[in-house]
Amino acid sequence: MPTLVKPGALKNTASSSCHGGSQVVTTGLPLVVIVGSPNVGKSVLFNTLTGIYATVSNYPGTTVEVMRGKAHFGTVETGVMDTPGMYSLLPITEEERVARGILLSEHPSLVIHVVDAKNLERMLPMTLQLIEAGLPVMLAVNMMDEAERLGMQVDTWKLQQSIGIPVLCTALALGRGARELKDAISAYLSSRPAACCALSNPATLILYHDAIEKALHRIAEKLSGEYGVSRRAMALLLLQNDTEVIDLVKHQEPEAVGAILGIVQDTQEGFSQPLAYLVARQQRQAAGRILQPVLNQPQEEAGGFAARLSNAMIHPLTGLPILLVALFLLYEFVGVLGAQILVNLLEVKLFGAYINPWVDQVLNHFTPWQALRDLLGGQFGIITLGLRYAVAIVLPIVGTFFLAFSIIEDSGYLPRLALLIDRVFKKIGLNGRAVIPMVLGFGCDTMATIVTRTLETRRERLLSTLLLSLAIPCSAQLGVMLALLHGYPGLLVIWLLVLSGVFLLVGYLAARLMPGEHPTFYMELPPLRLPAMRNVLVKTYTRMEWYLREVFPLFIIASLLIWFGRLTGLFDMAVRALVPLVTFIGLPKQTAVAFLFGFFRRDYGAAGLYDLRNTMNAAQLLVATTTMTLFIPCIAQFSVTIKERGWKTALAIAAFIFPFALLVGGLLNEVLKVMGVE
Amino acid sequence: MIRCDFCGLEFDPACGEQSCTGCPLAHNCIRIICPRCGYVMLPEARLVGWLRRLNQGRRTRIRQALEEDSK
Repeated sequence: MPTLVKPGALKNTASSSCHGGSQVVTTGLPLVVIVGSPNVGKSVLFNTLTGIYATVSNYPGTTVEVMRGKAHFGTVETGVMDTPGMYSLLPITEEERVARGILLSEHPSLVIHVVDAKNLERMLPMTLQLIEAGLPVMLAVNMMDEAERLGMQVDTWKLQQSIGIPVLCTALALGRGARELKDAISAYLSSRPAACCALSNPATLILYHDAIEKALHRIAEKLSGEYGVSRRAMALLLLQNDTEVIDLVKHQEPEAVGAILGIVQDTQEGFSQPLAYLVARQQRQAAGRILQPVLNQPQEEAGGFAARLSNAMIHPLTGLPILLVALFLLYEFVGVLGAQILVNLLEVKLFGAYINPWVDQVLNHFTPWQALRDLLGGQFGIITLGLRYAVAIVLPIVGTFFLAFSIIEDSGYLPRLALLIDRVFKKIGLNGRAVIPMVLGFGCDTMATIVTRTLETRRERLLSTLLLSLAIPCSAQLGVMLALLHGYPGLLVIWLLVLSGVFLLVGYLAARLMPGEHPTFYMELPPLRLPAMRNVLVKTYTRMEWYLREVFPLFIIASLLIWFGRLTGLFDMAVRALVPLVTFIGLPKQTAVAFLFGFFRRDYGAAGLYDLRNTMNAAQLLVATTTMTLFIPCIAQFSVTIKERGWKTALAIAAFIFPFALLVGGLLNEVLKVMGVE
Repeated sequence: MIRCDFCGLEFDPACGEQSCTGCPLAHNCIRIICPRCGYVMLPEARLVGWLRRLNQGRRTRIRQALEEDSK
């Protein structure tokens, strides 16, 4: 069933009052709905219009909050709704779905689209969509003060003439234009109580490709239900495979759906790119065309170094070498500064020479109980192992990784990487939007798994969760792996190739097993900039503090569990069970302990391997790092996967990954043997 | 206001928290999610905030001292 609700349903669900007053009932009143992207001044406008009379409530069937209040425009009393941020009528997030649902179901007398004047070109396509939908729209070009400071000017009159709706320039945070806006709303409501937009001819604002236009006509002809927006807009949403709208049409006129979906399929077959992408592109082009004589802004130097570098980062031919250079610099930075200098200083010189011997000495001298000595000191003690791993191995490596990552992040490279990888992702059934959780995964796979919820389809969310659990090492793990392989650039290349191969192969096969639509992705690129050292240091410190807060207790708990396992004999039993598996992939028996640590946290396991690095030859080092990278997700990631995707999926992912990681390790070992690599 | 490190959107951290609706970690989570692209960021560490305030206080005192001198 579609989640759209009947008008007036909202007032019954009000749960709290923003200002402590009673609930605002607006049934029967004309309704003014405020829409727009997040952070453009919608709430400021809402407060300006309604004053203190407002209620905050969850939209029916969701946890998304909307605000409802009352306002007087002349003699007309109206209801006013502030909607969650939306970027388009084709929703991606829950908030956008709710905002679109309000437009479709509440029959507004006026929709005020608030846009940021600085980003008018990016936001105008949604205004065009609203006009195209036949909604009574007014455009508030807000934040004019900021735009003017940047030297921008908007010709309101020309814009109004072009799009055929009232346009007002405001700076609502300063109160500028608020009175004019209220007057315009008042005039609009008194002259046109609840009619559809008649000022413009919506169909001529955006002309799509001929085949799309024909399909729109054919679909619109088949629609006869009442949907709250124009048939052309409904046809456009159906053409873009909007599942919620398809469900709505199925519900209202089931006999028409089959033929409509047939038209959609036929139209899509005529294009190599998804229809949603083509439609969005043409809407952006139309907005650009309309704004050309309207917007006066300082021209940026098109052929500057930053622009050329930005283009090079996105283009596959130049983008891939740039990516490899960035990775190599990261490898050298983490390998030399983190692994060689800092780890050597902390692990060998501080813990190895002073802290661990001193702890053992004190425990031997003052503690008669062997169990307590084992808990704090010895081979697996909280201080001698847990603290040493956390502070002397993982922290310096992760710290240098975070420093490098903050530099990359502050430079604006990540969104360009997203566009570069988009092509590869599309091949395996993911889109560039999925690069966000993937990039986040290099920081922490647990939070990246949470972010997969922002992906458009269930299929995408599932594929991303699987790939994050399998082939994306978290920052700590990646740092320790880079440190382990430091000094062997050839091994690093093979490790990267194996991981990329596994990522692409598993992604490709999983996408074949889970067929479905291939969602589209495009994004605004923020400018490239020189990283500001202050920002970089603050971000690095903030990440390190967060990491220590999260990881340190876990390392202590792991040490406690090991101690308990050794007391009860479970630890030795588990190690014995793992020995045949690690020897199967050609590793020394001692590494079974590191893999046992890996069940708890992969970075803990990686630190265990780092501890044993001198017992392995180059080939074993490569097999061990590859297998540990692909090893099962840590406890935190696993629990989040359960919460996000459910028990069955989480268990299925873990059940697949464990043998698969060992299988890849075993195969790699055999290949290395055949090649004679030691 | 903070700026998203991925897409460059400037937003109110409170607006970012709305994106976390329904997250199992929401009650104890300090992370901020960009409302446009979903990128996750961390709020400024306490120590950084403390140093910033300290620096601001020092600057204010210097400015006041300079103003008094000029009088």
